[in-house]
Amino acid sequence: MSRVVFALARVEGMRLLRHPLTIAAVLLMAGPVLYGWLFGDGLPRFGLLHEPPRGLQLAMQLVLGGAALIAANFAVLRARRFGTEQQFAVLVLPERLRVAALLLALVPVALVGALLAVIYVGVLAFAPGAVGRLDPYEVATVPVLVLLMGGVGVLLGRLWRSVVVAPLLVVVSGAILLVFASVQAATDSFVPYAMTVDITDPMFLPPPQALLTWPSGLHLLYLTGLAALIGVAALAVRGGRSTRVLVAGAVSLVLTVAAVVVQTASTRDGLRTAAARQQPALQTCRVVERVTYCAFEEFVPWIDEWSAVTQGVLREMPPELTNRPLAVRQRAIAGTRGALGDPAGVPVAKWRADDAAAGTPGAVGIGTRWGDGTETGFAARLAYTLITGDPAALSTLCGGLGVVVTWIAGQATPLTRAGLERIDAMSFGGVSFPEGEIGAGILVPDAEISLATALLSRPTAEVGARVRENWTELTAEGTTLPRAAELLGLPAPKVVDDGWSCR
Amino acid sequence: MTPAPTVRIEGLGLRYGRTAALDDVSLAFGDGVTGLLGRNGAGKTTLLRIVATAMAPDRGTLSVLGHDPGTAAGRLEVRRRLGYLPQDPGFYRRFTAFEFVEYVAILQEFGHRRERRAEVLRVLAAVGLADAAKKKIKALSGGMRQRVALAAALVGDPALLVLDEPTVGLDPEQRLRFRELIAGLGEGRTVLLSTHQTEDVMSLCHRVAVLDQGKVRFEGTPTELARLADGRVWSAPARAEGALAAWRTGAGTYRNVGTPPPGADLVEPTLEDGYLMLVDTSAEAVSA
Repeated sequence: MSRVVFALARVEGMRLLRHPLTIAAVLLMAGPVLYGWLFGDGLPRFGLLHEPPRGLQLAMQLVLGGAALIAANFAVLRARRFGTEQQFAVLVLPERLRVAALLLALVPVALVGALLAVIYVGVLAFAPGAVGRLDPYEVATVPVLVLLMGGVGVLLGRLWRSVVVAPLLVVVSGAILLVFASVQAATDSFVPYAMTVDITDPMFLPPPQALLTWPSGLHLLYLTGLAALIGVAALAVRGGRSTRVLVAGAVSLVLTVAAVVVQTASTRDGLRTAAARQQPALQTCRVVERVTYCAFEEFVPWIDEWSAVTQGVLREMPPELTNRPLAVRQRAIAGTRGALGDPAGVPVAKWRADDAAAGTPGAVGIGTRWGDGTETGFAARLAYTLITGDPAALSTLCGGLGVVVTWIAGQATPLTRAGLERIDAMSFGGVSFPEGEIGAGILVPDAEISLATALLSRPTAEVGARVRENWTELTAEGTTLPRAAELLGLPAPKVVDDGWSCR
Repeated sequence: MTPAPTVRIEGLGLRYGRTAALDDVSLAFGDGVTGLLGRNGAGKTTLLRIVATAMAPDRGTLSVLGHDPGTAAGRLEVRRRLGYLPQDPGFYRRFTAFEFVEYVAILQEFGHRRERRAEVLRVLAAVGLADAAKKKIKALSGGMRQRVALAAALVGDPALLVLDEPTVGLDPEQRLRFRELIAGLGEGRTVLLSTHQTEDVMSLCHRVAVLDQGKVRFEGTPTELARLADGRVWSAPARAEGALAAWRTGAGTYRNVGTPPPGADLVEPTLEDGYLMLVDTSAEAVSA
């Protein structure tokens, strides 16, 4: 009998793989990435191996998982859709084994998901600047998510004999996930652990491994239990409740609930511990060209990149500003769950205190990402700190100071210049350079950005000479944008009161 | 010694609400092609579905291939040796003929790939579709699709083949080809054929049963069914008053069925005449 089930699973598996939705999902997952690699920015740089699977998981669940859900649902309902129920009802293989075969048929689709994940992570790992340690549980979560979604499709087909339900569910569940993604769950709530993917985690602020509290192994166990539970439910409905199926259901249920409970309990302690830890104690410091850089262990290889930007900024600074002791320290929000976009949730005061205690008072903060504009943010905060003597606080830089800070940041390296263009293109009203990539930091309005961009198109030496010549006035509070333009030899920009409250 | 019938039905009954779809039906079929004749709603499809284990009767006993389909084990044994072609078979249009029949073969427990593929090729060849095996079903004509369905029913060389109006919707040539196929299938197995086509019964069946309003009105040979109209069919220059049916023939005379007047020009009855006499006179079940 098992040979027959596997034969049916093979046929159904091939059909699921060849289903237009599966093919479209694979193209959708792989296409943009491949296009970006081949014709866009090239291979991803500065990848975080312990972090990228999270975003990949969400995309895989919604796209490939969604396709698996609908395709599997259509497969369960195929006999009904094409009117073969009568003739197939009298064939030998029992219904529950046909369902079991269809559940097994999801494995090849899940393997495609695993393959895509491995390729993605593999490329990231071999690309320049990759740091961190790959978490195999996070990668293994991808195929389990696809299995789970496909299982839901099978279960839906067993419960409701309409092909409309599955596509509707994919749309609704996608919307729910997006809503949850924008809602901050309490850190000790069970909600993040009972979700399929930890979308409450701000995905663009990855934690260092030392503060990573996400229980990926337990979560994978939870997802496996949930997938098994759904599979068993699909077998059990409509008369498939054999003793073995019921026992399997009970075991899956216990496994699933236990995994959520243990995840919540263990991570609660982990979060508290992580939040209480002195981040400097977890970091390694190195001095490069008289600047001290402190990074979490896996980020140490990035110090050379940080140093290149630092030197680019220092190059255009008056010598009296570059003689002070300078430190750059990496920031992270412990436990990965800072209040997204809420400055009050970013522990700036604690960072400052930690800096002082660690012997690097007034250190310039740097986040856990590099590239895609973050380097420009670092350069801007560094320039601001050097000019004002204060680490970048929450402030808006208008007039001459905003122009000078942005120009110095943009000219530091080719990457910072490209980064400025990139974040300017994605910003509205002004460009933000937050510390630790979220929350507090500096913001430069569009008018100042435009002027700085115009300066960047001129020879650096020429602009640098003018900047140094007029340094005091340009960086003084109250130097207006038209005056700054005049000092820098640019046409006066049209001044618009856009409502910014300037420093 | 007479071999035991493949299908033995005794006192079978089934109701759909207040309507008796089958009422105290008792029949027995053995090897060869047995025809089931009857009007729409006479209970033919219901009876075939019960024999094919697709549904259970309310009452009565049933033995199919020596097993009781009322039990799970019996049903399984019957299904292992059964081929069923329903009245309006469905198809997976995006499958090729081969893929569709192979799918059925898997559901009929052909686990070994090599054996299964050989079996699929055998049945496709048996219905004359060897050359169309790789064609998508949606690209096949109605007659070819019907042959695909028959091929699917033939998987595993079933001892009992239940065919519910297999020639409905086919053009004359396709019907003849299908008839040719079915004729060959009756050798060495039991074929139960439900049809509206009296020509099919006459040319294919060695036995025939007539169902009317859920009851068996006749069971016997096609010739015996025709003989029910012995002395009831006559030729006349005009339509006779009181005839159950009358129609003008190609020769210009009228063929009347009913109670002939004295001295009428009696002609040889056909199976159609016998069937007409049977169902139109509401006769009690006649045993041949």
